Formats: sequence, C-alpha cells, structure tokens
Amino acid sequence: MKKTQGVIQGGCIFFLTAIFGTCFGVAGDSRVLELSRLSIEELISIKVTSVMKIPQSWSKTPAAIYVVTQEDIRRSGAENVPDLLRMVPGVQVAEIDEDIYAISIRGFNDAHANKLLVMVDGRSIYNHIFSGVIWSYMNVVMEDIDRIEIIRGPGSSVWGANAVNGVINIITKKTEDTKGMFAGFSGGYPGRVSGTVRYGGEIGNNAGFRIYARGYENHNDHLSQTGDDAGTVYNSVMTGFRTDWDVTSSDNVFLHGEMSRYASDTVENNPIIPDKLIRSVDTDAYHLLGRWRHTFSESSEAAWRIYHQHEKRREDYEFDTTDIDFQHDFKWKERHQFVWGLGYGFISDEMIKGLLGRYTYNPVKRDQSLFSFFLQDTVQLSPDYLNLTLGSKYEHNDYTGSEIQPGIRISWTPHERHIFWGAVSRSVRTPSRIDSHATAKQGSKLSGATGPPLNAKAVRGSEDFESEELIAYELGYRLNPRDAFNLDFAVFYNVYDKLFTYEEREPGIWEIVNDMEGETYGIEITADYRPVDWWRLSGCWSYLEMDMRLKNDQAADLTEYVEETNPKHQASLHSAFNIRDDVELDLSIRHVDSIGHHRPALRLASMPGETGDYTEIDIRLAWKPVRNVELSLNGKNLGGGHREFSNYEIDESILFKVKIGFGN
Amino acid sequence: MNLLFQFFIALKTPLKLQRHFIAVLLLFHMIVLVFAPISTSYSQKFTDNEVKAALVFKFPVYVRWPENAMNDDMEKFRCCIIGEDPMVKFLTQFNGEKLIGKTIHVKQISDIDTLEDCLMLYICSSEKGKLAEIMKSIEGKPVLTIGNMKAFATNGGIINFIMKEGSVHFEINPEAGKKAGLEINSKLLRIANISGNK
Repeated sequence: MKKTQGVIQGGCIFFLTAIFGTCFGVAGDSRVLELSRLSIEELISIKVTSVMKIPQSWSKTPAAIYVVTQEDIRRSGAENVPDLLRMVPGVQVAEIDEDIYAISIRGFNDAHANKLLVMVDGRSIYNHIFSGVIWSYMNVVMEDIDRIEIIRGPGSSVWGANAVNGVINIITKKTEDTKGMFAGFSGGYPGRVSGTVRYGGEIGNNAGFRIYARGYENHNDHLSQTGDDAGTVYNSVMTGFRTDWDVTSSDNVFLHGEMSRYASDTVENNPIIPDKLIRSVDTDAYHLLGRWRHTFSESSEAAWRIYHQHEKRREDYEFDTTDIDFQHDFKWKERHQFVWGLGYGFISDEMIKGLLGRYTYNPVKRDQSLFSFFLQDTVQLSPDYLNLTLGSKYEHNDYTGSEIQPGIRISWTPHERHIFWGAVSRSVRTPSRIDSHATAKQGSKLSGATGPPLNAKAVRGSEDFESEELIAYELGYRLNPRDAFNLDFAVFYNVYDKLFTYEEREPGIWEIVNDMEGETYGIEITADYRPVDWWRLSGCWSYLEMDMRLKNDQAADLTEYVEETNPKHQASLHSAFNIRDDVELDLSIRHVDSIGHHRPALRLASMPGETGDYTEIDIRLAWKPVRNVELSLNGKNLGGGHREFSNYEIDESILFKVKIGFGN
Repeated sequence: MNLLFQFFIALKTPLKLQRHFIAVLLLFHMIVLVFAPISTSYSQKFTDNEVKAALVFKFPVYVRWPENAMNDDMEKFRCCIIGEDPMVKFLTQFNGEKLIGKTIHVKQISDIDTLEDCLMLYICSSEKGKLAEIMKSIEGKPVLTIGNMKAFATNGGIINFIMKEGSVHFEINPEAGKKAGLEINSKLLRIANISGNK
C-alpha cells in the first residue's frame, strides 16, 4: 500500500534527522557541581525528572525486557491493558470482536493464545481451562499501575510452564504513592463511558491503604466476525483495596483484595433472524492476595505469597484457585547470587458448558494440583564484566507429571552502558483442561491457535496429549538507559516440537495430537530518544517469521493457519511533546502487517480471507488548567478504521477524559 | 500525512484548515530539531539524585560540629558513604572541592566500624535493612547522618530526602542532631520538614 509506505518513510526520515540533529546537543559532565552553585532554596524548587522509572536492575537484565512506565500509560491515553501492549515490541495485539482480544508474544496469536504468562503483582491471571487470558475481564485502574514489565522469550526457569513465549507482569502502585482522593471520568464516541474513584491514606506511621472502584459501559454497533450487523453492550464494575504495612524495618506485608462483575450481550441481525442474541457473558470474580517480605540483610531476602481467586461465568464454568509460594534470594561467597523457590497451586473447577458453550467435559468436575521448585544461580565470572545465570524449574502437574525447564544466560558488560547477552532455554506449555477433557461437536474448536478440519463431526481432547515444547535461542544488546538515547536490540530463534494439531481417529472424529513442529525467528528493535525534557520520541520495529511442519501426514494441516495469523512486520512511533508546561501533545503512528484469518472452525467457514495491513494514528491533547486536574482529548484510530483479526471493523474513536486528584 | 488528510476529509474540515494543522505539526518538529541542541544546555533537566547530591554538600554550611570533632584534621572535610545506590557516583564528583574552608574527601566504606573521622555519613538506600545496626554503632558520635529512604528520620537519622510535588525536599530530626552533638542552624530547620523519633 503506497500511502502507508509514505507514512512509514516519513516517520523514519523524521526520526533519523531528529537523532542526527541533536546528537551533539548531549553534553557536559559535572552537572552536579554546576548545581552546587545554587542555594538550598533554589535547589529544592527545581522540578526534577524522576529518572528513568526503570529500576537499575532491569537495565542489567540479560533478557529482552521492555518496561511500560507510568508516564507511558498516562500519555498513551489507553483505557485498558491490551491497548497499552500495542506499543511493546514483539507483542501481537489484535481485537477479534468487541472487547475480545488475541494477544501473544513472538507469534502463535489467537483468541485462545496459550504460550504467555500474565501476572498482576505476581498473581497469575490465566484461565486454566485453555491456559490463556480473557483480557476483557481485566478491569484495572490504569492510574494505579506502577509499571508493566514485559519479557519476550521463555521465563520458565523461574516462572514455570506457560511462560513459553513471554511473561507480562503488571505491578500496581504501593499505597504510599496513591494518597488522597482521585476521580477519573471518560466518555466518548462511539458510546463509551467509564468512571474511577479511589481514596488512599495512612494508618499510623508505618501503614497505608487505598480503596477504589471502577466501572465502564460500552455500546457498539459493528460488523460481527461473521460479517453481519451486530450490537454489543458490555459493562464491568469492580471494587477493591490494598494495604501496605512496614511491620518492622525489615518486614513488609501487603494485602490486596478485589471483586468484579462483567457482563456483555451481543445481538446480531443476520438475514434470517433479526435481533438474535449470539453471545451473553456474565462473569463474577474475586481474589485475595497477601505477601510477606522479610529482609535478613542487604543481600538476603525472602517472600511468602498466598492468594485465592474465584471466577464464575454463569452457565459456563466456575473455578477456584489457591496458590502459595515462597522465594528466597541470597548472596553466597561474593560471586554467587542465588534465588530459589517453592510453590504449590490447587485448582478446583466445574465445567458446565465451558468456553463458548458447545463443549462437554469428562470429567465435569476436577481438582488439579501443581507443585514446583526452582533454583537459579547468577555467578560473576569476572566481576562487573561477565555474568552467568544458570537455573531450572522442576514442576509436577496432574496432566503430564514432571517437567524440567532449565535455562542458561550469559551477559557481558564491557562498559556500564553496554550490555550484550545470550540465552538458551527450554520451556513447555502443559495441557489445559480443554486439551485433555473436552469434546466439541459441530465443528467447534479446541484450544491452541486452530480449528479442526471442515469435515469434522466432533473434535475431542485427549489425556494422551503431551506438553508442547520449546527450545529458545536468544541474543541481545542494550544501550543502557541514561542520557538522552537508549536502544534495545534482540534476535531469537525458537524451535518448537510436539505442537498441537488433530488426527482423524474414527470417520469424522478428530482427536488432539502433538504432531506439528516448526521454527520461528525474528528481530525486535526499540529506541527511545529524549533530547530535551519536553520532547520524547520512542519507536519500535518487530519482525517475525514462522515456519511450521507436520510430523505425520495423517494430521490435520494447520501449518498455514498458525503461520499466517501473525503479522510479519510491526512498527510504531510515538512522539510525546510538551507544548507548554501544562499542555501535552502526543502523536503515535503504528503499522501492522497483513495476516490471514481463515477460521475453518467457525460456523461461517466461508469467510476465510485476509486482514489487510493497516496504519493508524492516535492523537492525545491534554491540558492541566490547575494542579491535580487533567483534561484530555484522545483520538484513536484516526487513520480511518481497520480490521485486526476477523471481519470485525475497528473504527475511529474520540474520548474525552477528566482526572482530578493526586497520584494520577 | 495522507491518512491525516483522510481523517480531515472524514470530518469535513475545510481544506485550508487541514493544511494549516499539518503545517503546524511540521513546524513543531522543525522547532525541536533546530532548538534541541541549544536548549539542552540552557534549560537542563536534572534528576532527583543530582539535586540530592548537590544538597548534601550544602548542609554542612548550616551545621556546627563540636570543637573536638573538627580538630582532627583541619584541612579535610571527610564524607563517608556506606552501601550502594545511584547517588554514589554524583557524591564522589565532589572530591577535592572546597567546603567550609576545607577540602572535601569522599570515601566509600563497606563496614561501619571504619567510619573513623568522617563528619558526614551518607547512608545508601541499600542499607535499609541494616539501619538500626548502623545507628547503634555511631550513637553519640558527632556525625551528620543523611539518608534517602522511608522512615530514616524517624529511626534516628538526622536528614532524610523526600519528594514533594516533583521537587526534592528534606526532613530533619532535630532531636537526633542534638544527640550527635551537632548544632543545626535555624534557617535550615525552617526550610526542612521537621520529623521526630518514632
């Protein structure tokens, strides 16, 4: 497409000239001495940048890591986490249907993407039924997020199964950062409103709390996945609290609880049945999380974490998860930094109809438990220059028994600003409830990225289904965040085995098997440039190639489907510009390559095709008329609308936001 | 830019306005390109740690040490740092600078017992777990303790950095200063937030 090329070229030229134009502007040492000429009164009145909010340790992490900071969140104008993840390199985000997202890292994207671990404050929010995340249930107060850490590549040697292609960890703010009253409201076109209130304070000298509530309602008329006129109303309310308590100078306890309700109704007007209710979802959930951290000394720390969560989708399923884990970090003989941990998780479920409602489960009710242990040692081979990290996780689950997931990482820091790293790791995706116990009739689909062949009368899971395996090879370089410019570069080569496909067991009856293998490889580059405190430019480019093969001629050929549902190229550029101290202008452009979206499994299999590449522009203009008040106008998808994963059309939207209070 | 045009067409914006808007956008970026190198040197943005480091060497002007503490070495003003944090690299830049008629000597120590004749002690945030121990071993010594962590001043530290509305600020525990035998000028106390022992 010519016009998109134009935009991209323009963006590149603009970016490059900006870099060259200001390279020589970064100057001067002894800035501190210069500062010391000022008086105390002058010094305490200087507005300071709160450095890079990336903790020191991250810049030295030998992994492809990206941190979304509070400033990124605020300036993105995003209303939910999926929209925030669009700016992250190597992450595929696609809205399949109103409020239904497919999100993955380094490929294998689908509504039921299952090679990703997502956590909030260390609590896994995955749904064990399909080993994935239902993103629409994640109603979070965006202003309460401290940062989101995204690790591309396996994190299994510490986090275990399902951290196959990556880990997303959302970390919420401590209560000391959310004192006082906060209220936020947003409304816009097409029909959406949301509101947030939060109040935070102190309890005595050493403890703090916050309580909060958030709700939203969206109305949308659109084309459904099947191409018919459809309308959806969905709303969500949630409320919760958090307390942080410094019991002693070396003990910290934090407690977080939340309950939420989510409901959506989609009505479709197809030529035969007008106002047909095609989907109704009604979900209640709650969780309680506690963590106790004890510091033994400067180099030794231990933490206990325990949580319980409950999720019930009316008429579909219900489950309870209880998880307890322990982790201990300590230094040994100067050169060794050890981390080890133990974990136990228990899930009890009842599957009524399961996801999408056309499944039967055998057994209907099931309890499952998981035991895990990990040990990791980071050795300083040559102090300050060369570090070696060796570690492995051992897990025992009820589906496949024992799983071992080792990893080795090496990092070389020739200079404090430059870090080169490489890693080889093994990771597995253990079977989900659907993989093992579900039967779907009428050509519905099971988990994984794919549906069964068109002639299937039924597809069924199998207890013989084994874990999908990955051996990942990664290399990276990072120019550490300091001064005005930083850069992150990563390449990977992933070798998968025992991937999911189907085989015909009886005429028309297909069963899940591990008969696909393949490789993926790609490059991700992120650059961030801040020549002056009132202008920041950040951009990223990701490239992904997937090559799948069947291991058995009899297996259903899903290779093309898996390969084509992920864009090869993705690029984005964001300019955060402060016109005045109280006026901010944000411009972002993103380009996503075309994907195939044949969906042989869906009812209207006659709708295969392609989702073309798209380029979109988002604009945000924000004004702070007085302190603690922010008004903003957010235009999204101003490039004219597009499709991302299906025939569902995503249109322009305009959102007006008001935020009042502290800690925003 | 074509897409922007399409957007304006969709909104039925007059052609003239569209061009105007795009021209303004381009102008913005031109301004940045031209002025960025100049403005870095004029309106520099400092990090909190840089400002804190500069403040550390402002405090001694407002503090009077007991006679015997100052007598040890007339020439040198010794400042010790214990632990590790991002402030260290800024503090060490003051080595050799003049302060209250003496030459600054910044020294990193790993053990609190090697404190010797330091007049000032900066306790890094890494030492949070060992704070009580450190405080105990310097009890009664004429050392100006400066910290950069929560609850430092309420646990016996004299000066602690805090953030206030996007600027660096500090709190002082005058009682802790008195215990160390230091006299803190009222001007400094007026600027600071006053904190007490827990």
